[in-house]
Amino acid sequence: MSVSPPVDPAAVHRRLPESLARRLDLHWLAECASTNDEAMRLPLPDPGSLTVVGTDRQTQGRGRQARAWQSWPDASLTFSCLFAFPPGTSLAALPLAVGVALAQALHALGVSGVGLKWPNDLLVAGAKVGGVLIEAQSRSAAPIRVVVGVGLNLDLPPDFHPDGGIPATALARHLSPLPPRDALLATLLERLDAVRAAYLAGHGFAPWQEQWNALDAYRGLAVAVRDGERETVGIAAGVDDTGRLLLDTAAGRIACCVGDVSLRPLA
Amino acid sequence: MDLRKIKKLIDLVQESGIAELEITEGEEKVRIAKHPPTNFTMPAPAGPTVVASPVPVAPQAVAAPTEPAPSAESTLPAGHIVKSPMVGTFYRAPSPTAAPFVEVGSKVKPGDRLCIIEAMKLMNEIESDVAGTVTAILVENGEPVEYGQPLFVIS
Repeated sequence: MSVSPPVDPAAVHRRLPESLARRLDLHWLAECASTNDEAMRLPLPDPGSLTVVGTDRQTQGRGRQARAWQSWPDASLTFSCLFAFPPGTSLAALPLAVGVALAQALHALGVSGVGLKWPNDLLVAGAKVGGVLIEAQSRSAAPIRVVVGVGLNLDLPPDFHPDGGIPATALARHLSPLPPRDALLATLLERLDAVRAAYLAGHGFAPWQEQWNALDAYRGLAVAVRDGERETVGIAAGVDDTGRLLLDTAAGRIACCVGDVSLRPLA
Repeated sequence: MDLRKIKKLIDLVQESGIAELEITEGEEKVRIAKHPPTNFTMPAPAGPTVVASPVPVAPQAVAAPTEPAPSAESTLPAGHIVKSPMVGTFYRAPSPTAAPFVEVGSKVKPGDRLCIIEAMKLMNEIESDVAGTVTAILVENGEPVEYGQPLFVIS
């Protein structure tokens, strides 16, 4: 397994456009339990700024409902962006817009076969290369605190197979040579800052819908959407302008806003 | 499309995880949504601010009149009702193995976390906007919730 050099915050700043570099507050830690937890504790930035916490070794990375997010020291890119939005800002489908931003960043770096699985699993050639966990918190009339946690596999042990779900992959298998982590991070941050700016301006998901649908890895395929004990089966038909997954079922087209999506062999 | 069929469809939507169902039969079209079509999924303010909302929770058939749904709130214990500000999945704890944020009998103050509602992998912390004692928890952990659905009663 290849090892990437540590991230140098000064190098990240140098790689960014001046307009973003001067608004970026980047904290890089040798090790931490969870970059999302670290970001939740930091003071809220100005809504026009971007605070980022990253680490070389995340020891307790997690996904939805505390599912473990496994990463290997120096073979992952793990970081969290802290955004502040004024009270009342609509965050509708923000996770999908974040997925589009990450997918576009990988595409810009030269990765082919990048796709998204609803709502925002980041895929390359059908296997998961990255995950996102977004947490939001607001207190009465105070600004909304939003933490966008990103975990990207740069390399994986050859014998690694995740429990259940879709197979895993790593960037090193699709991008050679693998750029240094500060270059990867700079490219990702530029795209994520565009999402922050769009939601701050009140544009919401509308500018991202068409791009999400263009990246949809499951469009036209038979899928099952499982929500607890309930399962709905249909043909995936992209997302609507609020980010809901559209399914063509025997009873007509429906829109889903909750559930886990998995590919379903055609009956 | 007769009223019995529409009623059956409403029951189907109500019992399922489906947010919206649209059916076309010849020139007739019926759309059933669990929340108002102009304000769905995560209406503004979409942050986890706890809001009191007059929006009905029961599905509404757009194309045909239906019997009004009985008010769920009429049977709730007295007190401040914390409602869901969005459509999503209700979680009482930060993880499946963690202790719930609150139990019936817990004393809370403004800003205390009550639950998490997940909408499209956005985990929204829902906080109490009043001080008091939790007297009812109206949703089971992991259940889907609708916009405006009562979650807690705080007295």
